[in-house]
Amino acid sequence: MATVLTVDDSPSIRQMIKVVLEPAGHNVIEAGDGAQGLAKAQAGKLDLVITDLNMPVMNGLELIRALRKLPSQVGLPIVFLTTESNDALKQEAKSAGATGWITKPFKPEQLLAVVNKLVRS
Amino acid sequence: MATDQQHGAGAVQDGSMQVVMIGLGDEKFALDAGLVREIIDPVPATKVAGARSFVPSVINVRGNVIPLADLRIRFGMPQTEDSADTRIVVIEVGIDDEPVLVGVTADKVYEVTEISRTDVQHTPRVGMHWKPEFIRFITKWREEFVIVPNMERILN
Amino acid sequence: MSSMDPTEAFRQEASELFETLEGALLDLGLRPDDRELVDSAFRALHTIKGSGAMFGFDRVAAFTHEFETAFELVRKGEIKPTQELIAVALAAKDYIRALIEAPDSADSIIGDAILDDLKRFVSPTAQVLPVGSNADIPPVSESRPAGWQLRLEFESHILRNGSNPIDLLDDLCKLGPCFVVPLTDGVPLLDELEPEDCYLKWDVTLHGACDKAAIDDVFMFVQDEMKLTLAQVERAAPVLAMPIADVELAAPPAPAPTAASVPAAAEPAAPSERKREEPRRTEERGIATVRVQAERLDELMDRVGELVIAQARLSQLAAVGSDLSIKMIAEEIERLAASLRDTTMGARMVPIGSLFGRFRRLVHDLSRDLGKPVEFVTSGEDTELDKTMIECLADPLVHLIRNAIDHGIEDTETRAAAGKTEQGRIELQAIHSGAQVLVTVKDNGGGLNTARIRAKAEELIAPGAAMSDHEIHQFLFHPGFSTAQTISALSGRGVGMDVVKRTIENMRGSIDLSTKAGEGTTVTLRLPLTLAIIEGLLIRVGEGRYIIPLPAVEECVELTAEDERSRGRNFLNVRGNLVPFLRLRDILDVPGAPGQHQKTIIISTGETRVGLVADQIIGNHQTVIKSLSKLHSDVTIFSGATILGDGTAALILDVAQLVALAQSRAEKQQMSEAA
Repeated sequence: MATVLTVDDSPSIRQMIKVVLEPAGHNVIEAGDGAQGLAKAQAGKLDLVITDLNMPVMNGLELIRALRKLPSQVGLPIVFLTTESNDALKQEAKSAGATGWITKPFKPEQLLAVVNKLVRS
Repeated sequence: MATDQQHGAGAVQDGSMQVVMIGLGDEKFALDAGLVREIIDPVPATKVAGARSFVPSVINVRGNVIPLADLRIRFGMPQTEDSADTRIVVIEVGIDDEPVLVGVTADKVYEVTEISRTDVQHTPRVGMHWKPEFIRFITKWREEFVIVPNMERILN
Repeated sequence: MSSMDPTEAFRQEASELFETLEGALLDLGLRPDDRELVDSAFRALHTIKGSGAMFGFDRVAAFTHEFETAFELVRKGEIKPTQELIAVALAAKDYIRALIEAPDSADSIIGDAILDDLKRFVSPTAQVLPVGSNADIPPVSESRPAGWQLRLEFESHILRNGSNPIDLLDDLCKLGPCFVVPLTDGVPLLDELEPEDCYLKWDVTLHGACDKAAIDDVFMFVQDEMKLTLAQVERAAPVLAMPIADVELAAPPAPAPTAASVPAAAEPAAPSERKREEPRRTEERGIATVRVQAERLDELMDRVGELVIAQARLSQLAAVGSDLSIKMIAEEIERLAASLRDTTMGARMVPIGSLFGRFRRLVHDLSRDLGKPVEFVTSGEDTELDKTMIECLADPLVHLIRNAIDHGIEDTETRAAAGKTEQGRIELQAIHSGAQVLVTVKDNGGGLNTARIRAKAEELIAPGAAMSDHEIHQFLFHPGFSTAQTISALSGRGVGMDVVKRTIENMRGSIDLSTKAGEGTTVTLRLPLTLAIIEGLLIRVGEGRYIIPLPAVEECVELTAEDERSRGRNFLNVRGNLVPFLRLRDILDVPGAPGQHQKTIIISTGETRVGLVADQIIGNHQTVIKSLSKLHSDVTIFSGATILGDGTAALILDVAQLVALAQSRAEKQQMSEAA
C-alpha cells in the first residue's frame, strides 16, 4: 500500500494509472501540472511520483528538480513518462534527479512492474 | 498367444502357426491366433436391418459395439441354434486399411494349437461350394482336414 | 468512473479506427496502387496495436503485431494487395475487433488461421514468421549460463535519487537463489559518514539460468550511476563458488543494510506483481481461462461416455431390485453422471459467432467482384457448438456462401426484370433446436434450376427416369457434379457440394436443400450439439429396440384406425396436415403382424415432417453414440449405435435418411396418382 502521485495534463493517462494502481492496493493522488504536483508533494508523505515531462505551468523536469530540494521527500522515487525515441531528454531527467522512467506506450503490467520495483511495503 | 504377425500373411514361415481351432457345423476351421483378441460367451445380438447377410448383427463387447459375422452364411452352411458350446471369437481384421474388431460365431472352440506347414494341402477339394478366395489353405489336424480361412477376404 | 474509464475510451477510439481501416482496405481493392490507402491502413493498425497494448488488450497487440509483420511486404510495395489478400485483411480486422469487443468469443484458432492464410498469400517471397501465439513467449536468449557472478558498486548519491540498493538486491534474488556478500571497506568513520550516501558494495553469486537481459532489467534505472561487473559461472561450478579473488568470505556483515542475505530461493518469480495484477485482469476478462489440449477433452468425453453407460446399467439393476439404498445411490450417480456430462460437453463449446465474422468480409468482396449488391444478415452468433465442429464448419460455409452469391443471387438486371429489389440478400443463421444446431444459408435469388440439374444428371442416369425434384436436387451432392456453365474464379472449383455434404455427415450432421423458383434457395445444415452423447427416444419395433434422436422428435401420436385402414396411402392426417409416414416394421424387416396400439412418432428436419410407426415408445434414453464399423457402412438408415442399460446394443435411426426416404416415396406416390 503506497501513496502514488500522478502528475499529467492528460486526464486519461492519470485515469489509466489510477485504474491500474488502485486495484493493486495503492492510493493514487492526481495533479494536472507540475505546480499542482509540487503542492501535493509538500502537503503530505508520498511513496512514489509518476510524472509526465511535457506539461503546462511547470514541466516535469522542473518538478523533479523542485522535489529533490524538498527535505521532506528525500529518497522519494520519481518516475517520468517518456517516449522511446527521446534519449537526450531521458538523460536530462535522470540528472535532474529522477529515479526511473516508463516508456510510452506502456502496458499495465509494465507500470505495475516499475511501481513494484520502486515501492516496497 | 499372439505370436504371429497381425494379419498372419507370413505366419507359416518357420513351418508352424498358432491357431484357434473352431467348429462350424461339421467343419473345422483354424483361425490365425494372431488375429484373435478374445473368446467370449454368446451375448444377445442386435439385428442390423439392411446389412449384408454375413454380418447380420452387432454386439456389445466391453462397451464397444462391434459387428457379429456369421461364417456359416459366407460358406453356405446351414444355420444352427446356439448351444452350450457356442462362443464368440473376437478377431481384429484390416478392412480398407483400418483395423476393425469383428465377432465370429463358433459352434465350438476346441483349442489353441499349432498347425504345421508341412501338413498343408493345396487346392481344396473338400466342400466344393466354398469360394477358393475365402480359403488361405487347408491343413490336417488330428487326421482331419481343417480350413484356414482368409478372414480379410471373407469380410471385405 | 464510467465516463472516464480509459478502457472504454480506447474501445471508442478503436471502433473509429476500424472504420478507417475497413474503408481503406475496401478502397484498396479498387485502387491497389494507391500508396496512401496502404499507409492509412497501416497507421490505423499501428495505433490499434500501440493503444491495445496500453490498455491491456494483449491478444490484440500480439495478433496485430503478427498481422502487421505479415503485411509488411505490401507496405513496402513488394506485393500487390490482391482481392484475397484484402479479404484476409478484412477477416483480420474483424478478428481484432472481436478480440476487443468480445474477447471470449474470439477463438485464437481463427486468428491463427487468418495469419496462415495471410502467410500463404505473401509467400514464397516473404520470410516465415512466428505464429501468433508465440508472440507471448519472450525470446529465449542464446546463452543461458548456470549462473552469474556480480559486483555492484553504486555512486554515493544513489539513495538521494530514490533508488534503493536493497530493493535491487531483492529483485536480483527473484531471478534465482543469490549469495550476497556486502563489502564494507568503503564505509568511513562515523563522524565522516554522510547518512544519505551509499558506501557499501556487494558481491552476488546468482544461481540459475537467467539471461543477461533479466539482470540488466533489474538495474535499468541505475546503470548510469553504478559499476556493474558481470561474469558467467560455469555449469559445473559449486554452489557457493566465489571466483572473485579478493572477496573475504569471513567479512562480518555490515551493520545496516543486509536484508537480502542468502537464499530467497524457491520462491517463484515476482509473486507480488502477479497477485496484484489478478483482480484487475479477472474484472477485465470476466473469467479466467485455461488452455487444454483438445485430445484431453476428447479423452475426458470418452470416459464420461463410458461412465454414462455404466451408470445406465446400474440404474437398471437398481430399478429391478428391491434395495432402497442402492436405488438412492443409483439415482445420485445418475444425477452426478448427467451433470458431469453436461459440464464436459460445455467445456467443448464455443460460440459460432467467431466463425461468422469471417463471412461478412467474404460476402462484401464477392459482392464487389461479381457486381451484385448483397445485403448480408447474420443471426444467432451466440449459438454454441462443439469446438471440433466449428473448425470443420468453416470450409463448407465458405462454399455455400460463395454458391449463394455466385449462382443464387441473380444479376441486377435479372432481379429488376423479376420485380425484385436490386440488392440481393443472404442470411446466415444459427439456431438451437433441442440438442441440434441448425445453420442455414438462405439467399433470395432465383432458386435452383431443376431442369438444368436434371439435364446434367441424365449424363449419369437413364434419361427420362421418374424423379422428384427433391431427388434431382440430390445430384448436386454427387462428386464432380457442376452445372456452372462458366467456371468462375469463385465457385465451380475446389471443394464441391459433395465435399460439403461429406464434411457435414462426418459430424453426424445432415444437409438439406430447399428451393423455390424465383424466390431463392435455403441450405440447412443440421448439426448435433456434441459428437458424443445425445438425448434419445427409445422405441420398440418388433423385438428390437431403437433410438430416435430426441431433438428430431416433434410429437408422438396414436395411429388411428382410419390411418391403419389406408394401407395403400402412406399419409397421416395430423390436425389437418398430411404427413407422410413410414412403417418401421417394414423398414426394419420385422416379420409378423403389428401390435394393437401402434404409435407414430413425428420427426422433422426443418420444415419436413415425417411419421415413423413403431410398436411401443419406451422412453427417453441418454445415448452415448458409438459408431458402426466399416462392415456396416453400407447401411444408411442407422447413424450409429448405443448400449442400453441391460448391456445390449441398440441402433440409432438416421433421421435425415428416413425423412428423405419417406419423402421420395411420398413424391413417387403423388406422381403415380397424378399420372
